[in-house]
Amino acid sequence: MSETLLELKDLSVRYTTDGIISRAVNHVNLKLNKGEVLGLVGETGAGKTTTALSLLSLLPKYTSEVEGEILFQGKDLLKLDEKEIRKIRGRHISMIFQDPMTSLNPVFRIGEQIADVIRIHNEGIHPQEVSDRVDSILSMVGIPTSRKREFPHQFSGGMKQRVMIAIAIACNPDLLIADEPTTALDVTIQAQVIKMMRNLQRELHSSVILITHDLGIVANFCDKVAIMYAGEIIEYGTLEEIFDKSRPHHPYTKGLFGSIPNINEKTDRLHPIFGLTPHPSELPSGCKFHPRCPQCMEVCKEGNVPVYYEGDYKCQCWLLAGKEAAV
Amino acid sequence: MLKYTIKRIIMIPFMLLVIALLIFFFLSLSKADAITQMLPQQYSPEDYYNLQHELGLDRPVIVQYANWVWDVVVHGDFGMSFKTRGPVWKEIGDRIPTTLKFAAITTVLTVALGIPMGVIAAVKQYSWIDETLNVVCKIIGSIPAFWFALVLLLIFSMKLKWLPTYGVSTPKHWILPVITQVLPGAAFYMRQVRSSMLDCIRKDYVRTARSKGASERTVIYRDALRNGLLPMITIAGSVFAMMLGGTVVIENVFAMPGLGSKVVEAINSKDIPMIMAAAIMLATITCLMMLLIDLSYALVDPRIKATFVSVKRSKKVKHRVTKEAA
Amino acid sequence: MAKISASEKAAKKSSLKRNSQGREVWRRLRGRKLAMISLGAVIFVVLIAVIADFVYPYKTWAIEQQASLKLLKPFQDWSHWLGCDHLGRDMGARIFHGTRVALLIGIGSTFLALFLGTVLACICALYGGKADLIIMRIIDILSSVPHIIISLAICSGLGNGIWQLVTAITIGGISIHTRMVRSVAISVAQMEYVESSMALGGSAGHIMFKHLIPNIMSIIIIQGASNIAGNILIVATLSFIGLGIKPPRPEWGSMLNEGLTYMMRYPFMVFVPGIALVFTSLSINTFGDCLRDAFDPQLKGKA
Repeated sequence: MSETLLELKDLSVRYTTDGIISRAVNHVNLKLNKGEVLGLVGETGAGKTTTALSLLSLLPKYTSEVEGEILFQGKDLLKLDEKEIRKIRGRHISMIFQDPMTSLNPVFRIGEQIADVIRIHNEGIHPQEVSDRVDSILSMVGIPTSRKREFPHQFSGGMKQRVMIAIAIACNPDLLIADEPTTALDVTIQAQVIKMMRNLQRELHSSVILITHDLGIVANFCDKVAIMYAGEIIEYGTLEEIFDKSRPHHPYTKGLFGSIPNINEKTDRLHPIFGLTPHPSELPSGCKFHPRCPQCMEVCKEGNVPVYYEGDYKCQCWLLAGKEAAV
Repeated sequence: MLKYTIKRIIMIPFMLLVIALLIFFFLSLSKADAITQMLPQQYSPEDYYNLQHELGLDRPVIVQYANWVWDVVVHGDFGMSFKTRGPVWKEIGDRIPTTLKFAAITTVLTVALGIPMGVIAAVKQYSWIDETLNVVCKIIGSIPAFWFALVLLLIFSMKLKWLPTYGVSTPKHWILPVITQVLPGAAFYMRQVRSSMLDCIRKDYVRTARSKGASERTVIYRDALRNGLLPMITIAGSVFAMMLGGTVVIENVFAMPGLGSKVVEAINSKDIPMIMAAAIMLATITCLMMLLIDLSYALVDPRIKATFVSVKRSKKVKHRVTKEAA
Repeated sequence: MAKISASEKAAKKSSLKRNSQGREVWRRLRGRKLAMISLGAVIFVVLIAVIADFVYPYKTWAIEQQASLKLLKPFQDWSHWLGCDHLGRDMGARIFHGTRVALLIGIGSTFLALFLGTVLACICALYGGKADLIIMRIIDILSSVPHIIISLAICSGLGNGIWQLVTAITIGGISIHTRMVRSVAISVAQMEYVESSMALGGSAGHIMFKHLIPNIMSIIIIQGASNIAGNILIVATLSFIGLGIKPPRPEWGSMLNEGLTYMMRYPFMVFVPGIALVFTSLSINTFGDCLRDAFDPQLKGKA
């Protein structure tokens, strides 16, 4: 069960537009085991989507630069050429995008769009078999097979996202990346989609990276949680470790939890995190969070921040690591 | 679909009536010139009034207009030419095929040339080929068609003597006029195709297609191209209108016997019935072509097509429900 | 300047005053060689139109015929460096004065058509409903006929002259401007700040001048810049087929028409005015494109 599927080693992504360099992802180290569900949590602009796109080499070719290693089943994806990476996309790693409204091609029937990915990865497959597989996938995601001859605009947002999920799981991938799959949907539909995804994940035993900023969904779905801030993973651990309030945490994580109302506790007011996420083109020195941190110390302002390890758990903060690092 | 088509077809006569009124109004401002041009050098005021009465130009404009419409609609009669005193239709009718043929050939060539160039420029954005096409298009777009025609005439017909100068008698005669129309048209169309394709290449569904593992070729020539070319159908309609407008000038330079050269000739001789007939013919052709293109767009785009189909289907369902209820 | 966060940029954009946007556009323009070259060319053309009278007095040079100089080729006599036409009128003088006519009509008709188009578009965007429907129907009708045919009809009705031509080209051009500006104005009119201004009881005029116009100003300027050259070409075209400016008044299109007869043996008769025409429209077009890029760098290379 604990076989490593994916390992990011020192992954960095830089964008260059009009001479301005944006460091969207900075030295990310991450491990994902087979069958595991990882929640990647963070604010908008924290580099979650960029990390996900870099896994599939879908970043804009001319403006982005990727460094580090992405080991998937032992192979470094960054060293593969276009042809090889195409065999991975959709077959071994597939992705569900944020906005189902624009992510489906408006001029093709949805059955066709699902059949597409099956045909790409199974050359010379019999048309009847393709059609059968499309039917079975549609029923898996809860779409009546009779609707496969319809066009995307005839579907509601939730149904479109189901189609997207159907496309993503059509080839039974080892890793499914879901990039805020529910953000664009109504709250009631969100719950349905998440429930369905969880059931599918159990059925198919694939690993999932769930990108979200909704801690409720994380609590419902994930085994592991990684908190991202300004392109860095600042805290990583099991669901229990991250959600355990009795443990010490990164101040940002505390802030995230503090900005969500807790139904069991009586609180007069929420505690939002003050300030804005820094723009990746002008990250602060030292700990990227220090200008907004309520517990900021002198050491935080310059230099590298040490990482505190405890088994698989890690946290990049002077508060936790300081005791050992200071020695 | 049928309802939409019928609605559009009904609209056309009304549009033409408004256009006719507009042109009629402006032309009637110059009726004095029209009359004096028909009179001999020396004429008495009496001659003037007689002729004015004879041509029906002494009545109020709106009455003249109503008469004109009545004659055209009921009798299919475009009136008598002021200049030749013969029926206008006789002179106009022969000229329609030439103009139609010319506009059709140039439109088809423009589209056929513009699409591949635009797609290549978009796919290879910022490459030398894109930059070159861009510069060439900009230059062509700044050259007036008639001057371009003159230069081509001078070089290929007069100096090199490869091609004939005037008329339409052989296919060779068509080469220069077609080139002068198609080049600026293709430059315009190419820019539209390019920007539409660039738009589509950046769309989310193209990223989805990539994430499926589709090859770059498939992504561009299947997923992006279809979406990118859909709006180009409508633009092709404007290209046709452009080409038809262009005939007015090009037919003049190359002395082609078409509607365009007739309009200019008629305007220069203040032949009001002739101008009306030729202008309305040109407008009718444009309107019909636009209708045809809008309809074909509706047939091709699933989003529009589906609205018609679903209307039909929901009606069927309703029908069934009421039947069952009964 | 380069290091402004996205949020700050957005905040800045919304509170942008026109002069600061102008400065920003100028800064971007100055950075591009092509923009500066084309701007120089445009200024050169305008300068020619301004100084035409000082260099070549209208009556004696551009109109008066001198039989001895008939069809003098260019660069032979330096006091008539562009040569003389078939009536012995100095080509240089006629080109210089023709510039004046071309710019006057090109700019005048663009300005008028844009003004009318913007007013119509704003009415469409603000009042919507019936007003929008009626205006757009009229625009549909106007644009269902090739532009040149409307201009032709108006020209033949009104006669030949600068203001008649301006009217003809303006009416022909209104439809395209109204459509273009309307699509932008409608999206602006649906913005929250316009809605809130309406909710606060802002009058239509207030909303139009305070919110709509400043926000669509850039599209208006871009439209205008790209339209002037087109209109200059239309003027020349109309004159060429004998409907615009009539000789003896110097106009490039009618000069080309006159040159037609002598084209074979004296090609300079069609090349000199033609090159003036292409140079003018090319430099205005190029500058218009650069202006568009400078206004909206994201649009660069599109449309």
